[in-house]
Amino acid sequence: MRQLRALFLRFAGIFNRHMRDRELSAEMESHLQMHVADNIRSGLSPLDARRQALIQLGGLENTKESYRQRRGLPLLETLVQDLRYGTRTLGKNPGFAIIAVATLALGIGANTLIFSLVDGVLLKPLPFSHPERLAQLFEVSNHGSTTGPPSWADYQDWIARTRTFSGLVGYTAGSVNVQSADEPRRVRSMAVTANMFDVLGIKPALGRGFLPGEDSSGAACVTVLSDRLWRVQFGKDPGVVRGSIKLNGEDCSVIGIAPAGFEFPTGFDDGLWLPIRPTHEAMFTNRGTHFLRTIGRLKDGVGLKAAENELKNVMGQLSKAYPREDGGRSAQLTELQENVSGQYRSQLAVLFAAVGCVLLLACANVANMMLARASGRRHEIAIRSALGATRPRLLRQLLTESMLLALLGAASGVGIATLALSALHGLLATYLPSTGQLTIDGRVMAFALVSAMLITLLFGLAPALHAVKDSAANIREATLTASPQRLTQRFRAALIVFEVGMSFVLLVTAALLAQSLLKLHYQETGMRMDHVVTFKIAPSGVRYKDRDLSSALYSPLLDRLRALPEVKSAGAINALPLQSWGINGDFELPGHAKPADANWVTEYRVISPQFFSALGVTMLQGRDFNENDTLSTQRVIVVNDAFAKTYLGTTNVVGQQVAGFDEKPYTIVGVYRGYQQAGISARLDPEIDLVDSQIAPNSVWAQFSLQQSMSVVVRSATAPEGLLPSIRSAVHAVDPTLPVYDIQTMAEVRDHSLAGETLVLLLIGSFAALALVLALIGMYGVLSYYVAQRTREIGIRMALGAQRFGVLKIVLGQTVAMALGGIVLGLASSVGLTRVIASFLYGIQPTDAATMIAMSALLLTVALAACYVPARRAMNVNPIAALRHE
Amino acid sequence: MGNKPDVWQGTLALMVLKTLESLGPLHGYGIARRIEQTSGDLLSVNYGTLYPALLKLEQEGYIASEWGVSDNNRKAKFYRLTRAGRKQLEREARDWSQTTEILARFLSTGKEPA
Repeated sequence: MRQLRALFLRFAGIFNRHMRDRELSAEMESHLQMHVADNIRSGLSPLDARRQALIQLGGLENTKESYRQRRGLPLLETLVQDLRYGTRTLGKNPGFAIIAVATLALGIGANTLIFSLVDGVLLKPLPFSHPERLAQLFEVSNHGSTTGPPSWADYQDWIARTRTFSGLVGYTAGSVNVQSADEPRRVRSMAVTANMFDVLGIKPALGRGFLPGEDSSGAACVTVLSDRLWRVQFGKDPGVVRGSIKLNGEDCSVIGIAPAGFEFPTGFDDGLWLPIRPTHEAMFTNRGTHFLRTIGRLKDGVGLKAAENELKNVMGQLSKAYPREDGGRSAQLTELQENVSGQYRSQLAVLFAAVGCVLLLACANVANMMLARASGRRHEIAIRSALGATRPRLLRQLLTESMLLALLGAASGVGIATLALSALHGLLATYLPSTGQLTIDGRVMAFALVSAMLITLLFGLAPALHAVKDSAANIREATLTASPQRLTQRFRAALIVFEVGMSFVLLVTAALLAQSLLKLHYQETGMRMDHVVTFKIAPSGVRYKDRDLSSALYSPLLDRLRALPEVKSAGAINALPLQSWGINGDFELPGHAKPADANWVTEYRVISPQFFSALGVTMLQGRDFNENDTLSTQRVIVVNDAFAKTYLGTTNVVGQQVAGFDEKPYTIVGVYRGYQQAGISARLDPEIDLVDSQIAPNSVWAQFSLQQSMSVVVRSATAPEGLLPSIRSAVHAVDPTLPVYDIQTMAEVRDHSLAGETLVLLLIGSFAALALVLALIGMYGVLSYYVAQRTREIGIRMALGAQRFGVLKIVLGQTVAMALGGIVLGLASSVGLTRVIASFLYGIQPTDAATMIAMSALLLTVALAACYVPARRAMNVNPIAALRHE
Repeated sequence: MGNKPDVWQGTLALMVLKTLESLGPLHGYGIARRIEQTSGDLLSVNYGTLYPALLKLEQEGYIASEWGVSDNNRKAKFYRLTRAGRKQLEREARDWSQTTEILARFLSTGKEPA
């Protein structure tokens, strides 16, 4: 308590120093006067009396100093002093200060930006109660090669047969038509089991969550809206809760609003949640329909491995009991956080490494500038140490200056990161699982602060040590013009070699990524994407119940579109190419015995006639579907060349039969050149396509295609954007309650599918450009200094008859040596990093020689540009002036 | 003096408190003389060390100070004991006598016959 009071008073003692100093002087003076008077009384002469008094006091200034030390907090006071002095020194040299702070700000800013991504995606726990106990549950098929969700029946058995989970939540994505006053809207929906909020440990912000039983078949429709949907569609009207809205034509009570920022599953924050109400539809009765994504909460004290083993056991029982649907299937458990963000780890790690390089470069540059400055400050340092400043004291002062630079840099860096984050938000949103957690918050700022402290040492320590190395002894020498200090110059040259090396690695990486992206962009996709516009429609609801959707909706709509004068062709598909996978399943080939170890699986999609011509897909053999393929004619399919090649060979494919995915066998009538199914860089799988007019109403196939949603693809003769009004009116003419959504040109779909690659390239490219500029500035600084230091030597050489060309050769030699050293270092590092970089490349080798050569040439050119001004200065040295300079 | 500041500061503080208790409010010089006189030749006070000690006691709230006029009409800063200081003095004095008593007993035991 007393100590605290004293500490507080000492802290207060830092302030209003002058008044306290006056008071101390007065007290000392009164002490001395009394002592002198006593001494005189005891017979000393006035002079001796004062002297004795001073001796017994132990020196006036000493006493005052020890008093002052007790009065305030010396450490803090020196810090304040140093900060004040540092600010003054930097203010006197604003050019240096601005460049140093800007360099550090860019370095720290880039790091802060990337850290905010790393933190938001990888480090921050998911915003659920005890997220570490949540896990994603998968079924594993195809000998462990593919993981997927369980079927409804499997899920029920998991609940019944496992003991290690306190709750399992099943969920499946969809979308619903929300009827509102002006226009029907398509809203993303998530059908979940009623225990979702309880298992996640989240309470709705308004109203209530789902109750047990609300997810039973025949229960009334209830829904919880996301905060965003509530804000955007319903204007934050609290009266919406307990009110009713029309979903797919059915009345549905809104029972609650989720808290702002709530996402389940991660990324789903703008739709609504509905309880799953099982029906007699095939997806709930057919054990082979694996669609229900599932998470579980582990009971306290149960490990992930134990739960996984239990689930594997259960799956083993199921695969024996239901060999047709679950044969050969096993299970897998992944921590939910890992499942959400694991795939981004390597990309973020590479970005973090790249941005770390940039920060190191920035540090090297500032260290270089400070070294040059330290030589100019030798005089000042020498005087300070002659006046009694100790080496630690000097070091502390210089490091305080560095810290000041770093803190200013960190503050501006956080500003830069904030701006960059909002500028990149759109791109980030398409790439990362969730942008809800991406903010420049306290954690990110703490990161910036800590990095500022660390890099203070990184760029400040060497120059500071160098500055105080030969302090007091050299006051005379320091007063003279500094002679070239070979060691420093060598150290600075080494820094430049390091900078060039790092820039080289970043440049090569960026160049390789750029070439990959270009290759991807112009990659043969099996489609012609120009002049193509696509949109989605989803005919859910009572209106189309039990109807043949092909004849009731899709055919009339497509016919209307085809009748438009600008439209060349139009078709529909259930899973848009480049965007998502369709349905994965197995099949049989009548007449071919399946080898025991073979794995006959294929991609299935449902398309309409003319879909291929609308998207520019080429038929290789046979024919496309046409109007004559109906439910009453022979069942037909077309397959892609990958399917033909993998399972049937290249000849006589047309006419063969495929079975096992529907009641009857289907006959292949055509083979087409495969298109990229789920992304440009994704693999190309064997594929079977069914025609919409042969899909039976209410079959599993109908549920996953015609009844769910279809993408319509329209090829236009003119710019496709101009078609939108006619498209809307065509849809409206067929069904005015049907919303048109996800309108995009095919080129946009392609760009969207490359968002991740584009983002990484954009970031690495900026970092590489930044690194190049930093290396340029660094080289310029070192060469200028080199020339300035050698002005006298050059003068003497010239006086002795050296030619200007010879002088040029000295500077050029230094430049080329540094640049080549850096390039060699960079080459070695690039080769060392081959394996890391290779995983991000497409269609190009990480050791691509042309890229390496081009980047070497670029760096050499930059080096020569950096030496242009210093070299001119050296060549124009006037020998007389240079010699008189001493 | 610098080698044993802890002991010195501790005893010095106690001596200051005791001085102020017996003599009432007093200025720094007076305290220094008093301590010198009482401790005889054993402690040759470096007067300068007194002032940081006074400051510390004041910061801890055991003494208070104000400017006044000395016997021979000089302006001087007078220190006086506060109530907390009086308690602290009692406590410290008790501790010291206990310590010295124990030490004295301990040191005298060596002379007893084995």
